[in-house]
Amino acid sequence: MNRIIYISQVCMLTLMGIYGSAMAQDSQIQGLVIDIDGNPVVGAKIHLVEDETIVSLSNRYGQFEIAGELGHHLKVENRGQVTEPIRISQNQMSVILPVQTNQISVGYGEYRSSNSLTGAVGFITGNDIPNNSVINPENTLYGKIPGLIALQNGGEPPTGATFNIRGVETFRNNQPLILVDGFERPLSSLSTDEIQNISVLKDAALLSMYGQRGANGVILVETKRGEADQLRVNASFETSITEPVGLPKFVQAPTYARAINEALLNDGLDPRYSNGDIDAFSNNSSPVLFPNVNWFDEVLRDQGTRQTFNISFDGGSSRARYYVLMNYSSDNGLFGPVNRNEDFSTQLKYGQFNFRSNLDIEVSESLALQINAAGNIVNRNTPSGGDGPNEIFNSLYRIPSAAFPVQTMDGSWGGSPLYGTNPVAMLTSTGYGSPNERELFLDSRLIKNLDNVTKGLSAELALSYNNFASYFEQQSKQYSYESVIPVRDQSGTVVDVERTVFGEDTELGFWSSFGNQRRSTDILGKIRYETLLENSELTAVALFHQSGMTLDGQNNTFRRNNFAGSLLYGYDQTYYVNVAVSYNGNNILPSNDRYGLFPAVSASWLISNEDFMADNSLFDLLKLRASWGVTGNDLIPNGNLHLQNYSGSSGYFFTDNNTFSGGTSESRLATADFTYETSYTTNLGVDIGLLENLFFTADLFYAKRKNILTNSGGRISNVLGVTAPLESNGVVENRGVEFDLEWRDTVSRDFAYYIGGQMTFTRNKILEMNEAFQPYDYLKETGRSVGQRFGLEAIGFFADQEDITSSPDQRFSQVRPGDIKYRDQNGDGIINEFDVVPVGYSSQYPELYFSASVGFNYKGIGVESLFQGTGNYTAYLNTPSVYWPLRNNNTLSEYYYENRWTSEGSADAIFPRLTTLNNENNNRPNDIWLVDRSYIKLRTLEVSYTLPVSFVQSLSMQRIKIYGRGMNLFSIDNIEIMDPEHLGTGYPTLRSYHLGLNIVF
Amino acid sequence: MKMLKATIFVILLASVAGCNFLDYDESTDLKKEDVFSNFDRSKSFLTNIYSYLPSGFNSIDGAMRASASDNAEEIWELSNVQKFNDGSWSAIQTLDASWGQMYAGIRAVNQFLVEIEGQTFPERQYNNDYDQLMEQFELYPYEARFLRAYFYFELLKRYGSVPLVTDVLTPEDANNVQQASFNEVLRFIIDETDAVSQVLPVSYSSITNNETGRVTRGAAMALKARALLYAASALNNPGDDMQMWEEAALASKALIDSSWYTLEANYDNIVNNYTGTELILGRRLGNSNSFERSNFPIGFEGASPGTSPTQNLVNSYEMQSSGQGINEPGSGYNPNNPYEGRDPRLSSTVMYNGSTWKGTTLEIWNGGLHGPPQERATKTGYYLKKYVREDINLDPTNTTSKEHTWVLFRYGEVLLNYAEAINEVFGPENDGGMGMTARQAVNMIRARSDMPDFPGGLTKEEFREKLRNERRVELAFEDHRFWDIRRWKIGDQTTDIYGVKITKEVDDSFTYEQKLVEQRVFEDKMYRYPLPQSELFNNANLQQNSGW
Repeated sequence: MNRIIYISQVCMLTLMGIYGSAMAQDSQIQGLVIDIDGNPVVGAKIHLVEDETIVSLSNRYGQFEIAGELGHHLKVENRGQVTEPIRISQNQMSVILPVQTNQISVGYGEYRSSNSLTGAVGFITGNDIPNNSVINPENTLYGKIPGLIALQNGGEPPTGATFNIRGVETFRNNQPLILVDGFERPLSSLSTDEIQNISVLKDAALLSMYGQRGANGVILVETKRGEADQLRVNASFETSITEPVGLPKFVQAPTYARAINEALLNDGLDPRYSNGDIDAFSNNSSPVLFPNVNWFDEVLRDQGTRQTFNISFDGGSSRARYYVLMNYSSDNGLFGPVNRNEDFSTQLKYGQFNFRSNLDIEVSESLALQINAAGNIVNRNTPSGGDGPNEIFNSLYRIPSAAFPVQTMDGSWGGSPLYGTNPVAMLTSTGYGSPNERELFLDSRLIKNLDNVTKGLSAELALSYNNFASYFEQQSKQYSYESVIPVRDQSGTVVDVERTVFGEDTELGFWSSFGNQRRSTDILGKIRYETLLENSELTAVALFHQSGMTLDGQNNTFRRNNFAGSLLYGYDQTYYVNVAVSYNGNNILPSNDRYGLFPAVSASWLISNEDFMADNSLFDLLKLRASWGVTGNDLIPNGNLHLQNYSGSSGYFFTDNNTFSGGTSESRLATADFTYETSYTTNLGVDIGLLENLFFTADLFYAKRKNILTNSGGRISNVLGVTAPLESNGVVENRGVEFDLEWRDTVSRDFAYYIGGQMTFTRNKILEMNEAFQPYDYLKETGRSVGQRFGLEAIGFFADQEDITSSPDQRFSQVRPGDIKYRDQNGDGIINEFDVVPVGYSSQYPELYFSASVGFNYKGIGVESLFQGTGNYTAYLNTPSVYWPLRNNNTLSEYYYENRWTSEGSADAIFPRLTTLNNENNNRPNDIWLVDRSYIKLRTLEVSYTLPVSFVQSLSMQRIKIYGRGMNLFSIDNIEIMDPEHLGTGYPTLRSYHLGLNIVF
Repeated sequence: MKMLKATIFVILLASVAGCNFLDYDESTDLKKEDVFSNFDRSKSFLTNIYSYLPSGFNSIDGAMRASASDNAEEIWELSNVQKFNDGSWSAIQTLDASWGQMYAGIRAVNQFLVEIEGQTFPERQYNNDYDQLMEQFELYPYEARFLRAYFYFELLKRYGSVPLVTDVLTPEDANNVQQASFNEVLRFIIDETDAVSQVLPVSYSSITNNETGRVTRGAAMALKARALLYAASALNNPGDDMQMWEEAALASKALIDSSWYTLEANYDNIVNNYTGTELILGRRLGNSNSFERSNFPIGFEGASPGTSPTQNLVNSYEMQSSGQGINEPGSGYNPNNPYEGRDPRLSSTVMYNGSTWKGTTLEIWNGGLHGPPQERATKTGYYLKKYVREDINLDPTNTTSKEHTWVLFRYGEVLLNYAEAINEVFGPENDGGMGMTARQAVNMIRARSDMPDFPGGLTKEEFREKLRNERRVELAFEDHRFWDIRRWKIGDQTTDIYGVKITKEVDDSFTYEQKLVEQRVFEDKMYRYPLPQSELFNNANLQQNSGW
């Protein structure tokens, strides 16, 4: 059902409203097309019923102008839907289409309606993002957009996600380009609340416009802008608790002592602890000499806390609109005893303040100006310097419960020169550090309507400046610790103790340093022309973009020029062809060969708009898409690889005073034919809408990337005498399929629900990587996926010496019963590096990435959930103490202890025998440590209540919502004791619970 | 038309803004002509070549090569040096990066010789010191050629037969070189050392800048003498050709006759002493304490010891009074007080139970402050002393670093080389007309350490045995034993490694009990290094050494 609502009503309902300036000529009717969500409908075709030759298209704000008079009628056509004739009763009017029609940002300030989209673009609006409680918006994108593979890292704020788009297509830098409002800026610098929408460009159809930056895909982020012509305030508050995920349990002291003795016995060495010692550990009779410390309990508390405040204002007049945001998030970490110092806390604290001011000004009827200013200030507090938290966690994962007490008898810190650190002392007695960051983004854009030159012509000029700096302050001190060792008599009885103090207690010392900086400037000029012909439409864009980015350090400046153009031709709202090309260069490449040409062609066919589909009631939408094009990747090492350089190197000492003289040597040989990576991508897609409830999109793609820099060292004899050159000759192909399926139904005014799923499957293959010759085919990386893991195939544990003698000779270290027995792949009777085979998949990225979401809303009560998972993904379990225990004096996890091989029959042992030695036989890649890393995680579960509109309006408000939310609530996976996404010893990943309130008035 | 105008506008905008924008280069790297047309940079290119001279401080993955001989055992289990001993050494486990490093030095020399040919550095022409500069510069090619010969000797003693490269190779050339025979490489070394000996100075103290530490005529002669000694030895001279021994003896004698060098009065001063009178060529190093970190006994703060001298080595130190081995009857050895009355070089080389280190008496007994069963305590009952600087402090609050100098050639070795070579030809007490007998030469070494002379009347074989022991003791931990074992082909006698278990008795006395620490694998193929397998893959012309 189509409706006309007059402007006044639109405003009252606070739907979006942007209107042309006051009255133009009498015969010009100005209007606005919006969809049921209030989003502007771009590219809708407006016909004057009285004169079919008069047609207009709505612009990116949904605005249109058409020659007509009061009393005439308009018909609006979009996505094959045609409205009933609408009577023109005012010079300004608004049309609401009863569908969702997102205007999709496709880069360089261009938008496409879903009709005219010919490429593969994933898209979410800001509405999908607030269901996440995260400080870093990168963490909102798990499982949200098909083709965008987002993997979680650690939990220390503001750790973000690792992205790749459609898997991996190079063994070099695979990072996608992230643009915020058109300029390269980190997504992590924003707050989630200021994001309007995110689109992901996945195929060459649109990526070729980005030339040498396009091949890894582009993530486009747009921030919110002023919408209403009256003030709207959106305020929210959220309070949260966080708790660590996947902290392993380590054995208690008596078990540790028994384990050490068992390990020493296994190695044929004398036991370290007597039975009396073990009893002393058990009964805690002498907690200094025989301690039993749970270091995790001593250092950590159960939960951390987090608060987020957000307030934004938007509104404006017909001449100027604004969106202003302030956001503050603070996180208090997981450390327990942080207040032992009177003057300062050693808690891990993170505070981020974000601000944004986006202004839209109509300078004149034909000149629009946008000015955006945004930034953030980050203040942090960490124990013992910048890397404090991770260092403390490394110690927690290392130091056995039996090593030494937290404090000795007189209150000194316990310790041992073997470990050098005491985790509690590291937390409380080393002072604190304050890493601070400041970031500023400024940009402005002038849009000149050149209708007076040619109808439909406009020009745009944009400038941007970005600056990031970090600095670091520290008040640090050192602590002394006391080592208490028992002195024993002949019988082993403890008769005395020997106390030695190591280290020194110092006063707090101030130290500060400059950390890092990043500066970038961009200039963008664009000319745009759009026109409507009889049954067809045409949009042409020509642009020039120049960008310069200076990162910290020498040879870290990247300058790029991009000349790009695109031409979209649509016929009858049914057939679309898009041609895009860019000519693009950078400063890294040889001056005579730094530009490349990147063409792409794409087309779509809206079958559902064909006449023969007119009577069909099944398909709301049936659309096929195809694209082919070329893109590049210039994320290659900077530093004149194509020139033969000489540089300072090792020197020597001469004269009777041993005076140092510097040396000079020939650097790595120059790379001939040094160039960017080139990707050739084909994409086929289908978009289907069924029964007004089902939405389905699927894409098939194939890409081949050439000119990847390879290291030729493996193919060149060392007799050469200098580092072999890099060569631009690597080739990787990547293919895959992705789909997005959603069923949405509004059953009644009170009840609506949705259920959806997404999946991306990619598989790549290295075709050329300059691999060193391998004596056996199974050793070759060429022909396999990037990051494919290799390892030995374990066939059990050696039962006894006889088993060892009768088996092939294992040449990694001396083998004893309980060590891993390997298969001799080449049958030469020796197990060595030539017996490794591919095991599992890549540990760099999952081949399969999927998500499922389900939610409903019943009378204001909403439930939303998102599950996300991976498959064909391999983990390498080499975490010290947890999987590789006791070596280097590390501790031992309960899980390992319970599942280890023992000499008394251990048919169900998972892990090899205990040993205190490094045991190179066991501790190397093999299929005991290379395991399935797949998981399914419940990323988000939210229960909310939105108060009834009538009640809220009686308070002169628009919305009040309260919610409870959980993030990362559980994971189903094969890795029993750790988070499959975080297998290191650093700060853990977090599970979190949130309570929030959101008010709009 | 209007579209055209607009397009022109964009192109104009682009070209104004974009013209030279991409011609941006922050790099400060030099190009070839920048280096070799400039005196200082050319000199620094040669300086860099000096840095390829090897040192033996932790040269094998944090350990000394001595731990791959019967002189020592490495405490750190994971060090690659263990693979020399456990049989896992192979062409894919090459353990020693010298193949690549020496060829890197060789390439630099080859390039240096080509590029400095005919350079006159006109920018310096009007400087007052131009003549002095050019005087130094005239020596540079000869220094470089010595260094190249040295690098080839390092390859020769490892691999026997290696590509003899004197040009600057392209990657394609490198993959197609042929090996030269042992004798071709040897002759190259002899010819080059002969040639540079004509020009190199005896000392740099009279040359501008007084840049001692540069290679001298003595170094060239010492290299020649050592190369010939290796070539005459059993491994490389299977027919025991006496002419080879004589050539080796003459080469050593030429240097002895020069009287440019004298023995240090004190054995303790021969290492870490770049101005010593005995030093012919040292590998100089700057301030560091990493060698001390890996050799201070456990129990000293900051120590993480690595090298454990073996009982085998300790047993080879004779009794000072009798000059007899400890197992010889009447030697005067007391097993309950084993370190008393020994060759004084023992206490200069090894720390044993009861030694004093930094004012502390070492307790290496079981349960002692510096002994087992602590993690990283010595495996053999001994710690290394030679080369370890006692004046370095590892306490975290007051850590210090000092210079180190690794002996590449010293006069003492030349005397031993001479004694060994001439004994093979003429026996211990016949000077063969050269003016010094083998016994005279070795006794000079003995006298320095107050050890009695070798007895007279020894047969050639008896003298050989005693001299080998003397060489082991005198040159311990100077990276000779590993190579001597190979050239003498005595590898199979070096597989049982002993240590000592020290127990402190109730009456505070100690009992010393020898114990087998390790049984090593030694196979005939190990007399040579294997060529790295990757080299064979990349160059089909290369031949692997036999057995590997």
